[in-house]
This record gives sequence, C-alpha cells and structure tokens, in this order.
Amino acid sequence: MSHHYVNIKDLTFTYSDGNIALENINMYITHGESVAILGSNGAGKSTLLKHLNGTLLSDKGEINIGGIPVTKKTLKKIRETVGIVFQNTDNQLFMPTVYENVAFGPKNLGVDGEQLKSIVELALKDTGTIHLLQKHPFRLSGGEKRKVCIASVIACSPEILVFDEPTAEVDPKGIKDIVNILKKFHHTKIISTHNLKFASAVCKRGVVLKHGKIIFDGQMEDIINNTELLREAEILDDY
Amino acid sequence: MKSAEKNLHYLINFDTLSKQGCVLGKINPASKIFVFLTFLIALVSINKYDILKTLLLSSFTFAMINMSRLKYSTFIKICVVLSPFILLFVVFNPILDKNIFAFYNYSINAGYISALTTLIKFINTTAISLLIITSTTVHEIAYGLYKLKIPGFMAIQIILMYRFIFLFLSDIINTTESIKSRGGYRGNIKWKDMKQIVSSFFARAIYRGEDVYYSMLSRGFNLQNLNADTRFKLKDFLFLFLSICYILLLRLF
Repeated sequence: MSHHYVNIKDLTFTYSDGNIALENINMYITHGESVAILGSNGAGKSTLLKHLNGTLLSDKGEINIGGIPVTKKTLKKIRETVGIVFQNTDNQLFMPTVYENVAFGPKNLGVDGEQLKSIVELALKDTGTIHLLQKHPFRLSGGEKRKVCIASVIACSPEILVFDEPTAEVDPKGIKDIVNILKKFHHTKIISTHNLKFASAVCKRGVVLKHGKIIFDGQMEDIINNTELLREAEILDDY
Repeated sequence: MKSAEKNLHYLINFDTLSKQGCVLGKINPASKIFVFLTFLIALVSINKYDILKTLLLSSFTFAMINMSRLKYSTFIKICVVLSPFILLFVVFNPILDKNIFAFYNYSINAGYISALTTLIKFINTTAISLLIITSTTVHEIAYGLYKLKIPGFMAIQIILMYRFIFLFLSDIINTTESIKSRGGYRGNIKWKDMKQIVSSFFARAIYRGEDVYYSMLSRGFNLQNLNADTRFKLKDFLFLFLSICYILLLRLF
C-alpha cells in the first residue's frame, strides 16, 4: 500500500506579484497517513495543496505522487489519484443538481448507467446527503455544500484526499459530521486548517507553516501542547 | 432577485429536458448540429420578400419540435421574452422599406412582407436554438462541435460558460439580497450604481471561472473522455441525409 506516497522536495513557489508563498518545502507522506497542514491565513497552506494535484505548478523543487512526478504531462494520472476539495464550495458545485455534481467526476472517468447511479448514491449516503439528491446547490447550507463537495470527490475514488479548510462556514454539528466522514476514508488525507480541535480529531501528524516555511513537522499532540509554537504560528486560541 | 431566480429555474428545466429521452435526443450531436446549421443558413439566405419559401421551410422546424420534448407553451414564452427587438423592427420596417408590390389588383407595401418574413425567421431561429438546448446536453454540443473540427479550447469555453451561468445567477441573487438587506434604495438598485456592480461581477467572474475550471480538471474533466456516444449509426446518417435533402429541396426549388 506504500505506492501512493507523497514526496515533496525543495518546493518553492512565488506568485506573479513577487509574493513568495512557499519556500524550500520538504515533506514525505506515506500511504494511509492523515496529515494536517496548519497555519494562519496567508501561511501558504492553500498554495501547497494546489501543488498536490497540479492546479499550481512550480519551477523550483519537485512533487512526486507514488513515483509519478507532478508535471504538465502527468496531470491526468495525478488528478485521478489526488482528489481535492477546494476552500470555496460554490465554485466546486457548478452543475444544476447535487446528483449531477457528484456524478460529474465518475462520468469523466468513463462510468455510466446503473453503476454511475450506485456510485453517486453511495457517496451521498456516506456523507449523509442522500436526501439532497435532486436539490440545486444554491439552496444548500454551508455544511451541506461542504458535504456534497466531499461526496463529489469521494465518488471519483481517489487514493489521496486533499481538503482545503473543510471546516470553513460549517457549524459544530457539521464539523462533527465531517470528522466522521473523514474517519471512514482509509486512504491518505491531507487537510489544511487552522482549527486545531478538528485537526487533532482527524490527523495524527501535523505540519506547521509560517510565511511559506515549515516550522514544525511532528505529532499533533506535540503541536497542541506547545503553546510557544502555536503562538509563533499565530494559531493559538487565546482570545 | 425574483427574475434571476426564475432564470435559474428555466436553465435547470432546460438542462433536465436535455437529459430526458426523445427522438431528437437520440440523434448524434454532430449530425444534429450540422443539420441545424444548414437549416439556419438556408433560412437566412431566403429573399426577404419570399414569404412562401420561408413558410415552407418552417415546416422543418415544426417537425423537429414534434420530435423533441420542447413544449409549445415554453417555446411561445421564450419567443415573447425575446421579441421586443424584433417587434421594433417589424413596426418600423414599413417606414424604411417603401417598395410596392403588386398582388393581383392590390398594391402592398413591401415593408410589411419583409417584416413578416423576418418575424418568421426569428421564430424559426429561436426554435432551433431551443431545440438544440433541450435535446442535447451542453457536453454533447461541445463534443459535437469538436467533432466538426471546432478547436478544443473553444468547445471547452462553451462548457465552461454554460456551467458558469449557474454560479453567475447565484451571484446576482446573493448581491441583490445583500443590497436589499442593507436597506439600500428601498430594495431597488440605482442605474448609476449598475456599472460598479456589473464590473465587480465580471472581475469576480474571471477568478471564479478559473476556479471552476480547476475544479472540473481535478475531477478528471477532459474533452476527449466525455462519454457521449459519438459513433455515427444508421439513424444518424438517415437523419442527416433526409433532413439535408428536405432543406435543400425547399430552399432551391
């Protein structure tokens, strides 16, 4: 099962306006591991995640997913392996109904007919959103939208699940539901968040980012008990 | 807000219609697009005073409507919504076109005849556009165009634009609700503020469009693997051959 590892070597990324978003990122994630990418707003979490399925491609450094380097030529294979749930749910739910949103991915992978229907229904059942099947995404709550987004990615059966701020705009009950959904997924999970309680409920390992650099990589327990580190990373709840 | 929501529902209904089976829906998209384009070219090229040929060619449109799930009531509603521009033309055309036609012992202002043919052409064009939308999914239309050698990036743009309409309308609804909730202008938007609102819509549209595209790509979207059944079957050839023959027959003789 170790074939779907994620290996990031010396990754550096600078936006066109000169802002250095990531600097010398090195990370190795084994198959089945759950890793939280922690950091305050603007720390580089989303930028890092967008590199994992080739949404952003960097000139410096390299990313390797299960032996396949993330390059323009390998994007198709990479995107089949790495499923990403973006931060903004509205931009991800672009089809007219919930069913069609979830069916979009499997359809692109060649699934059709009864098999497609059962995959969609299973993904919606797993995320507790089967009752929303024919609803328009516009009419869903924040938590429901997030769950449908997760269902739409799970339906593609990716080997690696990447989540960008999955708890944004979700109430505590919704967050609890998302934790339960994620616990059911046994493949690799990479989650960017600044919600420490959520991160420790889902992940054992945490990587702390600050100004695009890794300042800590270790157990979630060690991160939560290290007040100095949390203060430095600006993710300490001390208001 | 109500009209934006109404439009959103219209779009959803059209999208649903395109997925329901009907005779026209079972025809290969490339074949359908080719026939409809030929029909439109034939229709537009008819002399503006040739009312008989225009009417005869309209029989093709009505045959197609009967082969689809498009309701006459929906079709009439859409025609009414789109009609103001064409009605302006119809009203003013007799003033601009002052030719006189002799019909038996009567003389008729040619402006009335050309206005009538333009009206019939407008009804036909609207019907054909609706027939494509309601009998073919956008992905199939894009794939059909791609098969007709339209560059791939243009076909992707069509899919993207269509997908974006849903988000764009949702955005309009949200913004209007936001203006109303702040009590601005008693819930009405002032025309002078429209330019800022519209420009912010378009600025956002660029970024959101990019995000939607990335989201589609991350779920395996690729023009090549749209799983539309694109093989040409006997029925597609028959539809293509018979339709083109019928159109040419009415147009040329």
